[in-house]
Amino acid sequence: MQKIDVANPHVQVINIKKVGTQDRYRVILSDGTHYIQGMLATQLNNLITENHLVENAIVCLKEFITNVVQDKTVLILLKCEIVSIHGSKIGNPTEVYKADIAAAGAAKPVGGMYNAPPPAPAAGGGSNYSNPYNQPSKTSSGGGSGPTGRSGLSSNIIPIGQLNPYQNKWVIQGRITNKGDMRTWNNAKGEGCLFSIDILDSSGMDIRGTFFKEDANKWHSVLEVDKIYTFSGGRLKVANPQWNKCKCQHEITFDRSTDIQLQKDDDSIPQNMFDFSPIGQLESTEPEAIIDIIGVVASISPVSSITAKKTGNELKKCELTVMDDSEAQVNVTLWGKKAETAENEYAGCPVVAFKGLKVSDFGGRSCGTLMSSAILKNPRIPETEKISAWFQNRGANATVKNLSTGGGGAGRITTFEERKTVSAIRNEQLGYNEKPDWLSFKATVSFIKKDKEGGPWYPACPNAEEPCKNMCKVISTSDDHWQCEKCNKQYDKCCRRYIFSATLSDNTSTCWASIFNDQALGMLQGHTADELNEWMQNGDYDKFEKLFDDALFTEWIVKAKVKSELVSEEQRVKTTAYAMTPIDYAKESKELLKAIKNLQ
Amino acid sequence: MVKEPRYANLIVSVVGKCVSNDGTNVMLETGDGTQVRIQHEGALEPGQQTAFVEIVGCVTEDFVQCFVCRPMGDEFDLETYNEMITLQNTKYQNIMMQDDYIVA
Repeated sequence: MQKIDVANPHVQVINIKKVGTQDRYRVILSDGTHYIQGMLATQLNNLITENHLVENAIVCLKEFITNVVQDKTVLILLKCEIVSIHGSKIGNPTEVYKADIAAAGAAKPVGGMYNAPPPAPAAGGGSNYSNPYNQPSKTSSGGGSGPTGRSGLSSNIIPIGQLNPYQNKWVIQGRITNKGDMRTWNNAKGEGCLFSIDILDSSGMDIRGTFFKEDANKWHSVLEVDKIYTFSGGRLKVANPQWNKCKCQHEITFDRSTDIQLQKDDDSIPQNMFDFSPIGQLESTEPEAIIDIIGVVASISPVSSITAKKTGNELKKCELTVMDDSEAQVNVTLWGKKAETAENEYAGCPVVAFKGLKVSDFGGRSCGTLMSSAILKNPRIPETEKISAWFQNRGANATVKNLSTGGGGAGRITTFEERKTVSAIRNEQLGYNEKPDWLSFKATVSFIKKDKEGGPWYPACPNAEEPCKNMCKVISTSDDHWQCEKCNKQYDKCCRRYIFSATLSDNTSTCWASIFNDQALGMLQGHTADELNEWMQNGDYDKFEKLFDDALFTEWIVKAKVKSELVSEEQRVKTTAYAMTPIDYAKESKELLKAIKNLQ
Repeated sequence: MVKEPRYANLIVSVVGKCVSNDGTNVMLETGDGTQVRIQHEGALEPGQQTAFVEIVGCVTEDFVQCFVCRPMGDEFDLETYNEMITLQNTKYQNIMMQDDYIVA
């Protein structure tokens, strides 16, 4: 099955017809003596929709393939040029037969319009045409035979770029650069399982192929990433660029007829095609971008579980800290099986290349793996040596800029190393961006402002359900009831929730922070605001004071949100304590000792 | 560590796990694995003390003469403690405050 590199033949398009449900155009091409069916490749559709290519026009076929469909030969036009418009059909062509096509050898001089100069000045027309229908014995790379050829598999290997839906019998040879996990689906139509692979061949083009149901079960355990196979059998369709980031515009659906043979590894097919970004550059990369990086895996977080909001499924995840010679490091999140095996897989600080990571602004900047991402440990590419040498020479303790700091997003637990000091709020000018900044620090409560009229709390709606969730403010009504702003109901009791300011200090600085109910409960040994209100009502002022005194000079790990807000015409940076955790002294001591060691 | 000659006749504080107690003497296992004999003469009731104690006393040739005993609870990370006082007594001695007694 060849792409013929013959001197570009001129033909007349004597018929154009739209076929099928998608925009596909069938054309009938004539050389004045014979006509043959052709299909326009989708990339040429605009010639018809923009009315360049009209019936009876003369075109110059720059690039085309012949294909046999149901015993008839069809030309697939990949590239053509409109030469001129013609009024009518030239000559009286009859249908050409397959026999003419299969015959290799001498060009049949075809009369008719080839010798007649086209009505308008044509580009390089003239005599020296060989019959495009005639297959010259010259074959392109891969050594395949003619369009009807079915000789041995190996001689039929074509570059991935030549795959198209009109060609059923093809063979490609490539390396599996990525094998996705098996996924199952269950919907109204039924259920099944599937997985996808990415195949890269020596031309540098890659394509995605998917296996379903029985085929998925058959091939999932057999195929291995990084090995070279020949693939044949399967349907081709146009790829969806939203999900499919491979270079090829088609993708393969493998089926029962699929045959895959393991080949010996050779270096003609690279392990993968990468386009690495330096990690330092990720700071200015927009979230949602897909990038490749390569670096040393400096540390691996323990596996944690997250419940997906949409499906309710439990997802395992783990984070790798990856650093490269741009002196920056970033967190890369792994999911599922990859997360579970990460601790062993990436031990020992190996150089790992990541392809197709999605950049997010979680925690500043971090990268997440997708089902389509490929991870290659110690890849056989020159960058590996470079990164490895950099890592050895710098000493493993030199500091790099961590792009994944600050515990962005509320749920993230920050590590000891990621903690900052209170002075960082002012020094780093936190809170001035559009989104609030998050940081963690260890601090002592030095003052609590509890002397508010009525107490350091606000009355909240007792409705624990949506939408109030106990948090909405209620206003007291004249008859001693409480009216909720959100759910509009009246209650005879309210649920008091703490709200006050306190100063948090460490050895660098002090800052004011807003403390809300959850954190306050921790500080005040679990006594609720309602309880305290009762004490006040009963005159137990001493008890009240003592509780707050006991909370003074307690030490906490504070996770805070910092945001600059407009307060009575002035921009003020406000800090809110989002979480306050007591210090685990044994653990903290260990971390401090480690930090002391690293000082050397 | 306490056994080291440089602490002879000095007042030290030792934290350790009670291994045995016969009413007069108690054997403490310290963070570096050695066992130290503490002569407490009744300050430590065998049944009543916690698993970990801190003894402040004077170092003699064979044992430590206990002055004060402080219970440290039943859970104590001796390893981390040991690391810390090792650093304190060796590398970072110059930044440590001079106290009435030495933590060993």
